[in-house]
Amino acid sequence: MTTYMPLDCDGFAAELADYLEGDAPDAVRAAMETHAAGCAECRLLLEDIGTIRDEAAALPTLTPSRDLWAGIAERIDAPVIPLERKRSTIVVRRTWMRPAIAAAALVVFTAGITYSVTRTFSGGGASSAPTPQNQVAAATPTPAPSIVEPPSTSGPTRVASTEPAVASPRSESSRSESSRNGGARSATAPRAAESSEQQPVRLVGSGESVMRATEPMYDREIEKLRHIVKSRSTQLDPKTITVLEQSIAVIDSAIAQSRAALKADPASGFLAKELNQSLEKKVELLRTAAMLPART
Amino acid sequence: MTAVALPEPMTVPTTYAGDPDVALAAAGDRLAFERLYRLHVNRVFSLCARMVTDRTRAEELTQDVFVRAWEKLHLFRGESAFGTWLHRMTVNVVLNARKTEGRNRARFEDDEESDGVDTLPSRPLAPGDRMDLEAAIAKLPKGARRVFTLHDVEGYKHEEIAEMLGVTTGATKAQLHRARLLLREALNR
Repeated sequence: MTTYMPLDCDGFAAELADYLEGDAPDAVRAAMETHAAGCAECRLLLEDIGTIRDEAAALPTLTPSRDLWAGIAERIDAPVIPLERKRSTIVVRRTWMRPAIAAAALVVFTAGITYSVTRTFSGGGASSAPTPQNQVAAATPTPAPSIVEPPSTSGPTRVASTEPAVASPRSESSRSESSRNGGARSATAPRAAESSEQQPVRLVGSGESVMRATEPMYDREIEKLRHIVKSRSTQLDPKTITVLEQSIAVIDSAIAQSRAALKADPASGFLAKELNQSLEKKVELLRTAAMLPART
Repeated sequence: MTAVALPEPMTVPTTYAGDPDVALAAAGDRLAFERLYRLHVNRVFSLCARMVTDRTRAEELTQDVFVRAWEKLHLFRGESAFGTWLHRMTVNVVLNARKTEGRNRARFEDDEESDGVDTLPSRPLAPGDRMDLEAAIAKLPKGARRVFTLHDVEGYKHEEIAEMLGVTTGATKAQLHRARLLLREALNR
């Protein structure tokens, strides 16, 4: 039976995402619940996120400011007139399309290799091994997300005249709404615990706290990919591995610098974004390495 | 006497068991399609508005969605509800539009930072003020906002979102968690 050490607040924050997604093992769930029962701050965090989730699910549908049908009708009535193609254009297009087609074929090829490699890897018994579905998704490039926006002096904004029409139906296949709506409170209703000593609303603040909560997820992803790359080390050219390690060292250095800077200036959205981008870059590099074809 | 050719009776496929208007629209009936538009426009617009945060752009995208739906309706085989099919098409139209727009300006600015936030009127909040959830969502960074909208507002699963966005489920989970924490902060909770 798996044992799990009691969690402190940092441990609670690190495991929270998995807990909310239902991905945490039973032992971790139990530790989370035990901690929340005894820690008012973490319990409040859990409740707040639950409330945000409920309120988001119950958001009303929005209505356009005007009837859009006329514009649609105009467009679907318009006859489609085929453009006459110029021969020279076709020739040029065909010429530059060749490398593009070759590149696409290469992507498919490497994705196939990755898939087979990761299947082998996941067959090794690691409980957290990525699923084939994830691996297929992983074979596509990830747009670099950023964690937090840079600080803005203009302050928070309000959506322009979003007049609710009717209650949100949500998607047909989605979860039950009744349970969600039951405990939801209005996003604009004052909260009993609030007082005038609260800080100004700032979406871009506390970059460090957000990173602290999301970094473990990147770390897990990196760990999985590192494991795959390591298991393939005999298949890759040693020079490639050297270059890879050097690149990772550079990125690690950037990560360390961003972490240190963020520690000194925890509210910096810019630093949080830098750190996030470095982590994302590391994931991308490892993913690329995991997809490299074996040396011949 | 000249024989007048009568229009052929409209053939209605039998695969759209749920909604006769879908079948009629697929056969070219504009009035039926307009009824479908009236029925679904608010949901389509809501998704567009929350994904792009600019209402004018959301209205344009809503029109794009219905034009595309009209063009592709013959491909709809009734394997899912029409609303589900249309909703998925909405997500694709929004994401494709964003890719195109992103390419057009990528050399000049950071898409992540400029997206949406600067298109909304701003109002400084005093300490203790609360922000409306809708406004707080609009203030989220692009990646976090779209995952939050698709998951927590629209009810898509991580696997579906990862497929639509071309990322891993690990990335969508990280973005979702980040979005929730940022919203909590923004809502002064």
